[in-house]
Amino acid sequence: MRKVFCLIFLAALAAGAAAADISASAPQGITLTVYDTGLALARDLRRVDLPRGEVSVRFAQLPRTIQPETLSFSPPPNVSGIDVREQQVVYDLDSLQSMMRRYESRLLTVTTPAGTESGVLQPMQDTSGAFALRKNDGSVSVIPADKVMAVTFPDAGTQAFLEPALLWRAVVSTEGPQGIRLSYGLSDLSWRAAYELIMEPGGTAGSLSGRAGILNRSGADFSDARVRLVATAGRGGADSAAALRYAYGWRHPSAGAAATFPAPTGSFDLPQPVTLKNNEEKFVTFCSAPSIPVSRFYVYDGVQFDRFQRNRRNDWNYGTEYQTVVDQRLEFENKEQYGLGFGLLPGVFRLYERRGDGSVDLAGENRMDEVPAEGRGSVLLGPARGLRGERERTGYSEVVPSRAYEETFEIRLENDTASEVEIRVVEHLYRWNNYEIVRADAEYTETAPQTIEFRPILKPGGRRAIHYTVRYSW
Amino acid sequence: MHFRSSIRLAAMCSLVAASAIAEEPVTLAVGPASTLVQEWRTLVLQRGEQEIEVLNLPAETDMSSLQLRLKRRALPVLSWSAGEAPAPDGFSRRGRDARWSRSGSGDSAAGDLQTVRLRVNSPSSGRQDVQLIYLVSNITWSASYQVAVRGEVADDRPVSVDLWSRITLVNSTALAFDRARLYLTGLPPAPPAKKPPGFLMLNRESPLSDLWRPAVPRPEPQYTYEIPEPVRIMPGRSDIKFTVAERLPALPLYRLTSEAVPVSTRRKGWPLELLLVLRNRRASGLGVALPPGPVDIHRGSLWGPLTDRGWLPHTPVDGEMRISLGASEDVQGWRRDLGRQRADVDAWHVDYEIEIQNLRKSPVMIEVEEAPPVVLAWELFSSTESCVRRAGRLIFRQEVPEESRHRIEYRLHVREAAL
Repeated sequence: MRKVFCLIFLAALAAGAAAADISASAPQGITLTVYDTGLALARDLRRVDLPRGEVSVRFAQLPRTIQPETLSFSPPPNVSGIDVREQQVVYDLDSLQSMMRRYESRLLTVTTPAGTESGVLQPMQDTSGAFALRKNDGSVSVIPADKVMAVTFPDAGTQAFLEPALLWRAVVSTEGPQGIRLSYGLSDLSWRAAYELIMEPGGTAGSLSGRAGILNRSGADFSDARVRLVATAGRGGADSAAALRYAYGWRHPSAGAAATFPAPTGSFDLPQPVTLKNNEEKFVTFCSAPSIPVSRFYVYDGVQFDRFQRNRRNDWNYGTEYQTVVDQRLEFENKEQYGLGFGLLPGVFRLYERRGDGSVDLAGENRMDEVPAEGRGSVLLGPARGLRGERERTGYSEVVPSRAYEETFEIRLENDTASEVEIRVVEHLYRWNNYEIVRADAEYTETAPQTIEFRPILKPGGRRAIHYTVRYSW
Repeated sequence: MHFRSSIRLAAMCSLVAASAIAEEPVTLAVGPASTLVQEWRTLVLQRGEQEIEVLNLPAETDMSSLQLRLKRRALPVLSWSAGEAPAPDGFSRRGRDARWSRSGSGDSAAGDLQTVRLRVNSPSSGRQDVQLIYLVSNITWSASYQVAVRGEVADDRPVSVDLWSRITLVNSTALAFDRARLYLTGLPPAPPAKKPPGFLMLNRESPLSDLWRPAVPRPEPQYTYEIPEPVRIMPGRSDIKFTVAERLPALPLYRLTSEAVPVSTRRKGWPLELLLVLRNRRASGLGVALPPGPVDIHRGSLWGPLTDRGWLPHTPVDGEMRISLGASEDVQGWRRDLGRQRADVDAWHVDYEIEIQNLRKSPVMIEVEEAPPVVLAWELFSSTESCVRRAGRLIFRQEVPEESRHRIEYRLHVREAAL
């Protein structure tokens, strides 16, 4: 009996829109929770006027990427008086294979390089995508998939579901108008954030603008939607290279299985409703600070180590390699008095600097992590243009064998910009925590354990060398 | 007159005013990943919120970077989008039918233009010049040099050099401007790396195996180069004159590098590389930072025979330019290993010799860039000649008299790694 009913229901579905007796309204009061991973949760209100008894209800204007298993609705049956016996999300224009399944035993036209052929599509076990068409004369023509240039599906508007739709077969005990709130997950709806900061030359403040781009490829339009943007910490998942651990309740250790859903790290509610059209990326300005104090500085941290494990305490070769890039960094306070004061989403941060002729220069770009309200934003903006450093060890001696060693370094800096710059030269005293700077030809400060910092100023086109000797003792 | 001009003001999507062109300079800063475009357009704005359309932005525009600025302040933009992009599937609707075709429309094609609709909040009414700032991809640049060496490189005759440089801009977008100030940033691709020396089965944990590994690109210092005159920007490839300098005084210099002259016992000397050394000075007609690029070297004039092809690294103002004229058999060199002696339990003294033979009938200036053939760190213990240590090399520079031999011996102090 159940099988017969299912056949009847599917036959009704195959007839398309005619199977749904009642259509629900267009979505209203849409709220979207959009994750930066491309997943989203949607909630909208549909109005429908239902008669008592068994009805078929159709909900249209759903996204193509809806995840049917996540679909739920409220209020519950004991409140609404709607007992949903079956529900199905249908959409045939999802792929050519879906349309072919819908058009089995129906007439269609296939275009090949040799011309067009029409016939009734015959089901085939072959999975290569070939078409088998039965002609009027009883013959069957098989067209390989790679020969197919186009396929025309006649009367598709009535024979197939060209837009996603939710179909209900329900028994209604309370007739009259109702408001039904649908909730569902969908994919291909994502967001990204970008920050643009323009600084005046030599200035200590800038104009900051933050914008969120919401890319909608879900297949649906969302009108006047309330949008919450959620940042995540990325996906977990089982890693075959991970260490073996005992999962809770397991008797044997296995590769660590983590939650596959990305962990939210922060969120932001857009202040105004947003209309998101399908296949459109909409940008919304979500923060604006016309004059925010910023600290921009340059850092040369030259030492680098090779990939070989060494005894850092007394290996003579340790720490003798260097890199030449001077990094530029930028810091600002996320405070309400500057027009901020709320959690800033992670995103691309671009620093522009105004030139003397009024134009601006893109001075650096990098990803900024989330900045909490009242916190401090810090961005590494890549190599500083026109600045270069070298670090060379010029001396190493055992003052007292196995008791005290001395190392001497020369740090050379070049400024090929048109501005005077201060470079923070960071030196790590990595060999041991008992150290003493016995000679230095520039002032320095201890900024952290086993870390000193020089701050030389270089004039435009200037060159500068710093020398220092550190003594380690044990 | 700018190539593109139109901007429209629309109130709630209906066109109510058209724009004129602002006579402000267009600026392009072409970087390694993207190009920053700054252009001015004239808008007719009403006070308060309204919708406007900006036409003819390239399809390669990064919309997240779009900024609008008035003369003295930013123009608040509430939201914007570039409209509906074609769906990336192959279906289309034709009347009552549906049609699938293999040539499904995808994203915008390279070189297309697009319209951006913005919702702005203008602080005032009237015609206003608005600066558009945005980033565009698919524009690249490179530099190249042509050098003509006048006269023979002989010690008793002056040598001069003509230098032409040009910038090649490959614009794969629809961006076009009649006059634009052009800045180049970042570094173009470096010359191809030399092929690693053959294939050997080496212990991966040995430092020597690094010679056979693909080089990991390291971050490099970045520079900005300004093209002095405004240029015309058109889609496709453009060659832009950068600098022209004639009769630059040049000094010959013979260089021995560790890469070109291996430590060996062979009897025949290795030819030294002949360089012409110039200064990048304003008085010489240059005086701007020169970007790195390949150099074609001709004899006599630009139409003379092509004698060599080299590479000019980034050269700052007042920096030294070196143009390679190839190997010279007139000045030869050797590098020899003189052996080593134990200096301590875990330390050695290693001796090397460099010999230069000048076969010319006049003295020559030589420079030795000696990267000691030591894998680990080293210190100079002693040397028969004075030298400078730079970037892990010993630099010797001195004159070698005519038809003579000159030897340099140096001793290094090296220590075994403490593991």
